[in-house]
Amino acid sequence: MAYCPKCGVEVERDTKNCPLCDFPIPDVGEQDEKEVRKYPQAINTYNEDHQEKKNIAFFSIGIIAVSLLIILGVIYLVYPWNHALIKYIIVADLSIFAIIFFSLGYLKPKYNLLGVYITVLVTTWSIYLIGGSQNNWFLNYAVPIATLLYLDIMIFMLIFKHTRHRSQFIYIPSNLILSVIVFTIGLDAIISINYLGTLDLTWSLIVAVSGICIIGLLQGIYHQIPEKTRKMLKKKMHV
Amino acid sequence: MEDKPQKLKFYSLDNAGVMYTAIASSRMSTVYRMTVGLNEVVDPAMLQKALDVIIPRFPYFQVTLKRGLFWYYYEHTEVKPKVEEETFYPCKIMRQRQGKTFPFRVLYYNSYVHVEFNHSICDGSGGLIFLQTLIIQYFKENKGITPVNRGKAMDIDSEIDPREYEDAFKLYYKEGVPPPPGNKKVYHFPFELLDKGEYLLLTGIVPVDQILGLARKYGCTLTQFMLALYFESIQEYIQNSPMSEKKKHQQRIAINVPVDLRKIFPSITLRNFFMSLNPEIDLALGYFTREEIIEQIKGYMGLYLNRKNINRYISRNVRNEQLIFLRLIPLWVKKLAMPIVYKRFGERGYTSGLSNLGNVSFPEELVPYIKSLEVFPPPSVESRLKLVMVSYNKNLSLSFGKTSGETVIEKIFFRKIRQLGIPVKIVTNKR
Repeated sequence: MAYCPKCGVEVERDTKNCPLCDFPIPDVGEQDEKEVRKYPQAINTYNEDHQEKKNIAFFSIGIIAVSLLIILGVIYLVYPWNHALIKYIIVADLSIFAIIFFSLGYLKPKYNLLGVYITVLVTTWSIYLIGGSQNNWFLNYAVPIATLLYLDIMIFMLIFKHTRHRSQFIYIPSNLILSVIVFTIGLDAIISINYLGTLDLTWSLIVAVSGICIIGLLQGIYHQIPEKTRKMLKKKMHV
Repeated sequence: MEDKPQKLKFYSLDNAGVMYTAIASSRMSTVYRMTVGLNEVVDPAMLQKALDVIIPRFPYFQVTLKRGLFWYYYEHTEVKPKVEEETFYPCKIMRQRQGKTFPFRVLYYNSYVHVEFNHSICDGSGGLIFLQTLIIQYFKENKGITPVNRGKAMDIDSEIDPREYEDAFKLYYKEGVPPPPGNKKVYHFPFELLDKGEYLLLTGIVPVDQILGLARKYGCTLTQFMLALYFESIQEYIQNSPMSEKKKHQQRIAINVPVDLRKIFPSITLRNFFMSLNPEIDLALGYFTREEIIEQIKGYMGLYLNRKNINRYISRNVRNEQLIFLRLIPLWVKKLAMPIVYKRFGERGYTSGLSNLGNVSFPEELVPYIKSLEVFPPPSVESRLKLVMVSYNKNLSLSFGKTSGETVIEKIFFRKIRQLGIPVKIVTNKR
């Protein structure tokens, strides 16, 4: 019979560590009949079950996208109608299909995000080429905004990973607000540089200040103000 | 409506079943498990034969879950259930697949037979009757043993009594009874969750007579004594947590204790018929000694464990189910909203659960072949650790089911039992 020296409980004979305290069970060199295993090495079927549903969704969307593509291709070749419009629809169809593929999560999250980022860049570039616009909006706006959003989401996915086991009602809103603040500041900067030629932040600062106030409030509720600060505040405020 | 063959084809869910089907998800599968340990390796062919023989006696379990427009319902199926070798995590969610799935599964592994029931079809008492019948039939097929006294198990040659599948909640529902007071938010375990689909089991086997003797010494029942030890363990865990967290955790601890209503109302239904009480201690009042906790529990049970108070819970639940504007919400909306409602109003009110299924006996002739009996609670997210106790043949199985990898509460709990001088044997599926 095998016992845990720390807990004093009997454990199954072939156990290496105590199931309660993880303390190694000393081998007393007992060589009697082997105990039958009670549980098999369990398989988790969660991913498998969900894969099936995902595949069904992906294939039905794929069929719709492909048939739309064929119809549009035939119209494009046979019927001399608004060619630019058909090109737009084809680009939209393909990019929606690509984004759905990435959002179904077949790859790792960071590759999915990268895929969406590249899709957005390619789509905007195609639209830019089809439209033949005079001002250089693709390089001035589309690329910086998409890159900004991509980096913003990347950073906050990382932060979320580290804080996800804390209180969800405090940390998820805090992180979301913080990421919105970073995004608005970047957006404001891009617009002002392109429009005015200088870095001049305006409305994003209002978003930032109010957002930081909300974060402070949330974190304050969660962590409570330290005793020392509270005393100091009381003294200063005469309450 | 009272046409009999019509009724056997279609079973509406009972009050608890309605809720359980709506909240079911990968983490909250609402599936509980009963395990019988035999003294020899299980013969799957014989087990299948036994299942085939007994299933016609349980037509209300030979059903499949169907989606209605407003609610789920169970429909009779001619498909025969199959026994399977255990390969997956315990209490895996039961998916519905075109009339081929059952609300229960019979598994075997080495010398163990597991029966897993979806809580929407029956509660522990009903499930145990099915399990006992199955095991008796298994030994009849395998060894030719026909026990004289079947105990609680069903006689498979007897007529099917409609009272076996009655919805006892509706039957004993009284109109006009005021609802019970709402529950308050209590302490919840801050443990990290396991991956979706995973579930850990940990059983401690203790000799029942020693622990019963101790309970008598403290002047309480076995359930109350184990409940007190469990409260004490959670209290000790909170006391030992670091100062910064301790203050936050000075809350109420409440433990959900299901009560088998067949003992209070004269019903023989095999479907759900239970109601839960929530005894609690408030840590803001200070440290509770074991005697104080026992007094608290005894006082609580004395006040609330009676027909009049239970009626309030039944009438609240049945009334909520019968509200016409709730019934008219389409099923997919209910399926979205119910988990949140359950989390907010149900699980918020208790830290953990402790269910005592009492002493289960098998016929005398079979006792030499049956080593152990355990029952495991269904997994849950909010109360990450739940306990079910059941005693069989001088042993008490204290079975924890958990959706978290932490073992700190069990460690304190079983060390407490060891300190009382009672031997404990631990078995787990954790690798």
